[in-house]
Amino acid sequence: MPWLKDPVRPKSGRPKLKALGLAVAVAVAGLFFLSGCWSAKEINERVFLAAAGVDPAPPPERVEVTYQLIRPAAVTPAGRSGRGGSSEEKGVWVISNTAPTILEASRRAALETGRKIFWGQLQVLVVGEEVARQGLQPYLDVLGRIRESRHLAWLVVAKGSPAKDILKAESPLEKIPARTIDEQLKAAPVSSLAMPTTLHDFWRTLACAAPCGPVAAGVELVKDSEGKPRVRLAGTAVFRGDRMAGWLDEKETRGLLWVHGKVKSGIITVKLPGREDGEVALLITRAGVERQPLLEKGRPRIAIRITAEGNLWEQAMAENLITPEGFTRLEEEAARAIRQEVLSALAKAREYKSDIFGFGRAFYRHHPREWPAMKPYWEEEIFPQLPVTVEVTVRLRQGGMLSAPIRRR
Amino acid sequence: MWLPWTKYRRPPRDKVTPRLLWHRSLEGNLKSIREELGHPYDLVIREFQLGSGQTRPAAAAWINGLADEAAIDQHILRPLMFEAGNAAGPGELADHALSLGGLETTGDLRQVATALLAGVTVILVHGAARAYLASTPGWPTRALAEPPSEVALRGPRQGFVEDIRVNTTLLRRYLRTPDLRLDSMTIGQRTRTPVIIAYIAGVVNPRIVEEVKARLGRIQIDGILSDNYLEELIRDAPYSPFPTIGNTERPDVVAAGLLEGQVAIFTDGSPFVLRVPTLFLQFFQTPEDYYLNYQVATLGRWLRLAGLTVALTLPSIYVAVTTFHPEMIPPQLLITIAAAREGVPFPMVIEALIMEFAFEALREAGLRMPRALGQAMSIVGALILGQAAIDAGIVSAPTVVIVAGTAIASFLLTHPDIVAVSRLIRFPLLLLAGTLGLLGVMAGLILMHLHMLSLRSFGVPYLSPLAPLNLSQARDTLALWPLWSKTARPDMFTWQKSRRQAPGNRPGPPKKRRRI
Repeated sequence: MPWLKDPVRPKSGRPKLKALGLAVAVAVAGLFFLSGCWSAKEINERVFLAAAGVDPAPPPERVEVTYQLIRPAAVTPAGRSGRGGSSEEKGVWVISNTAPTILEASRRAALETGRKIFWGQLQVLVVGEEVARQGLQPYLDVLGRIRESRHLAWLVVAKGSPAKDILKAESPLEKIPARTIDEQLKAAPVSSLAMPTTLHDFWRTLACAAPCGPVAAGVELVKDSEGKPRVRLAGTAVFRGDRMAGWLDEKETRGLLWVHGKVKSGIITVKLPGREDGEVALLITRAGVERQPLLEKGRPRIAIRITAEGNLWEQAMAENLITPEGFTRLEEEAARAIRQEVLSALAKAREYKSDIFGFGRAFYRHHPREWPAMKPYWEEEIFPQLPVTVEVTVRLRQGGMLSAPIRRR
Repeated sequence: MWLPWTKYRRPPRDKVTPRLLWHRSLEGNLKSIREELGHPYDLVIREFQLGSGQTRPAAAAWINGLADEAAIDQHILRPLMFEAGNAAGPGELADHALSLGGLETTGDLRQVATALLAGVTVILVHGAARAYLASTPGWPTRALAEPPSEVALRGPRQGFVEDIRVNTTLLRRYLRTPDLRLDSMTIGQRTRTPVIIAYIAGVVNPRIVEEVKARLGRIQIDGILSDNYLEELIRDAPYSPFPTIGNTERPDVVAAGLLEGQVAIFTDGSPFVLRVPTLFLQFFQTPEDYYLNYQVATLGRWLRLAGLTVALTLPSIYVAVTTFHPEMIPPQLLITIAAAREGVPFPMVIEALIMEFAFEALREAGLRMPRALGQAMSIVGALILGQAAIDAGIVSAPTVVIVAGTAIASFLLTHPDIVAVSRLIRFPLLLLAGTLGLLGVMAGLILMHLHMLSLRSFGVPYLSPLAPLNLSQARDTLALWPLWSKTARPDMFTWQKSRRQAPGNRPGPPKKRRRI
C-alpha cells in the first residue's frame, strides 16, 4: 500500500472556480444582511384596523376617517397572555382625523398611534349616509388600489347617524365592536331580512355590464335597556351608480333576496283568510328562483318563478292545520305574502330607478343582440315600466314535532 | 474519488512477492511466523508430537481470543496427538486426522499471518514446507436482539449484529434460494474489512451490481470501521444533505429489498447494511408498513410525509406570514399572536431562531448525555425554556407552540437521515423567511426541489416514481395496497417488467358453488 505513504495531495480545484465559489457565498450572505428585511414589519410595529368609518369633512379637508383599532392585549382573556387585560378594559381604541384623502388620513394617524395602521384585517367599512349620497367611488378608490386592502370586508351604510358614531358604539358581547357587525351580517340568513354585501360585491355590481344597482346593508344606532347606544342592522341602502338613492326596509330587503335566490331561511307569518286571530309562522327551509327575460315583439318582460319549501313551526290558534286542506290554504297565503314582499321591493327599486335585481344583466346575457338598443334607456325608461310577472309556489313539508296542537280534548 | 482535473496519478500497486519461507525445520517456521506478526502477546503456539508413540514434532498456532479453543482441542490437538496413525505423512493429515470442515493448505507466510488474524488455527509439521489452515473462528459476538432504531410491533424481532458471518446467515434464513449471491470483497489496507455484496441473480439489474462493485473496487483507504465509511465513499452526491443510500438493521428489510431488485452491502463490524439504489420515498417506509393492515400503513406513511413538510416549513411560514403578510392570518388568531408579542424585545426571526436553537440543543444533548442526567435536562428544557422564557417576556407563547409543533412533526420521521435533512434545511428556510417573506420560503423550497430532481441513486432518479412520473408505481409508493393486488415487481430498480406473484391471489369465496 504505497499510497498510504504518499505525501498528502495539495488541495485541488481551479483557483478561478474557488474565487467564484467565494463570491457566490459572499453574495448569498449579503442577501441576509443587506436586504434589510425588505417590507418586513414585526406584528408589534403595526396596529390592526378592525373597522373604518368614512364621513364628509368641510374643505379643505374632504374626509373624516374614523378608525377602530384593536388593542390585542386587552382583547386576549387575562391569564392566557400573562399580562392580559382586565375585563373592564376596552378592546378597541377609536380615533378619527381629517384629510383630503383617505390614504393621507391613514398615514397621518400614525402621528397619533405611533404605529402604522394595517388595513389588511379590515372587517367592516362603514360609510356615512351623507357620503353615500354624494357617491362612493372617490372614497372606495384607495381600497381597491392598496395591497393591504381586504376586498371581503363588509360594506355598510350608517343610517341616520355619522359613521363615526357607529364605530364608537360598544358591544356587550364582543370586545371588538366590528366583530359584532360581522356576526350580525353572518347571521342574516337566519331571518333573511338583511343583505350582507362586501366591498367586492359592491364593486362587481357597480362595474357590471348592464347598469346594475348596487346595494349595501344599513346599520343604525338603537338604545338598549340601559340607554346605551348599540348597533343594529337596518334594511338595505340602494344605490344608483355609486350614489345612494334610498332605503329598503326589512321586508323589502327580503323581497330583493327572493329575486336573487339568496333566501336561505326565515319566517313567513301568515293569517288565514277571514280570520283576525291566529297567526301562523312558517319556517322557510329551501328556496329557489328562476328568472326569464323575455322579448315579445321587441318588448321586454321578465317572468320570475319562486319556489319555496317550509315547515309549520308555530301557530296561534287551536285548530289543527296539519291536514291537506289546511296546508293548501297556508301555502296559498304564504305564496301571496312572498309575492307581496317581492312586489314592494320592485316598487321601491322603480321609484329609485335602480336595477338592484340585475334584470338588465339578464337581458344582456339572454338577448345580447337586442341589448345595446335597450341599454341607454334601461335605467330611466325601461326598468321603471318593465312588466314583471311574479309566480310563487310554496310547499309545506311538515308541522314540526307535533301532529296536532296540544289542547284540551 | 479523484477530481478529474487534478494531475494526481494513482501510484502503481506494489508487487506482491510471496514469501515462500519455509524452513524444513519446525523451529524455523515458528520463528518466521512470530517475526511476521511482531511477537504478539496473544499468539498461542502449542508444540506437540504427532501421533502416539511417534517423534515427529508438530505445532498448532492461533490467536488467543479469535479462535475457538474448544474446537481446537477436540478437532485438532486430540486427533493429531493421539489418533494420527503411523503411516500418516504430512500430506495425509487432512484425509485422516483433522475432522474440520474448513481446511486449506498454503506455503505463503503472508497468507498464514492474515489467516491467523481471522481466527484460523495454523498447523505446522516438522519437515513440511506447507501449513494447514483450519478454520476455527470463535470470537465473542453479541446476542441477536431487536434493533432499537427500527422497532416493529408486529414482525420479526431479529436484528443484525457486528459479525458479518452471522448477518449473512440471517439473510440466508429469509432467502432460501440458490440465486442469492453473496460476493465478497476486502476493503481497507490495514483493517482488511470483509465486505459482502448481496443480490438475487435474475431479479437484480446486473448493471447496478457492476456499478456497486466498481465503486467499491475504487476505494483505497487504510481503514473501514463502519458502513458509513463505505457510504461516504460510494455516494452519488457527496455534497448533498439528502441520503441516496439506505441502511437498515433488519434482515427482513434487506430481504424485501433484494426481492425488489436492490443490492445490499454488508460490512464486517457494523450491524447496519447498506441498500442501493435507495429513493427519497423509501425513507418514509417502515418495516411495519408491510406487516400491518395496508390501510393503517397508508395513513402512517402520509403522516410521515406530512411530518416532513411541517418540520421543514412550519417555523419559516410562521415567521414569513407574521412579519410580511399578516393579512393572511385569521383575525382572532392574529390578535392572540399580537397580544403575546407585546413587549417581546426580539424580531420574530430571532425569536424563532432562539427557540429552534434551544430545541436542537436539547435534542443533541439528550442523545449524548448519560441517562442519569436526562431528568435534570427535561426539567431545564420544559420549565426554564418553556414557561420561564414566556413569563420573562423573552419569547412569545405562540413561538413556543410553533417550535413544539415542529418538534412533534419531526418525531414522526423515523429515519435518522431524513431527520437530519429536515434539520439542515429548516434553518436556511427560516433565514429566507425572515429576510424575504413567503417569497423567500418559496424560492428556498424550489431550490430544494431542483436539487432533489438532480439527484440519482446508482442510476435511478431520486424522486422516481414521482419524477419521472410512473403512475402505476407512484400508486404503490404513495399508498399501500393489499398484497394480492401487487402482481408486478416494481421496475424502478430492475429496469424491466417482471412479476412477483400470479394474478388471482385475492382471497374470497369460490365463484361457483361446489356440489356436496
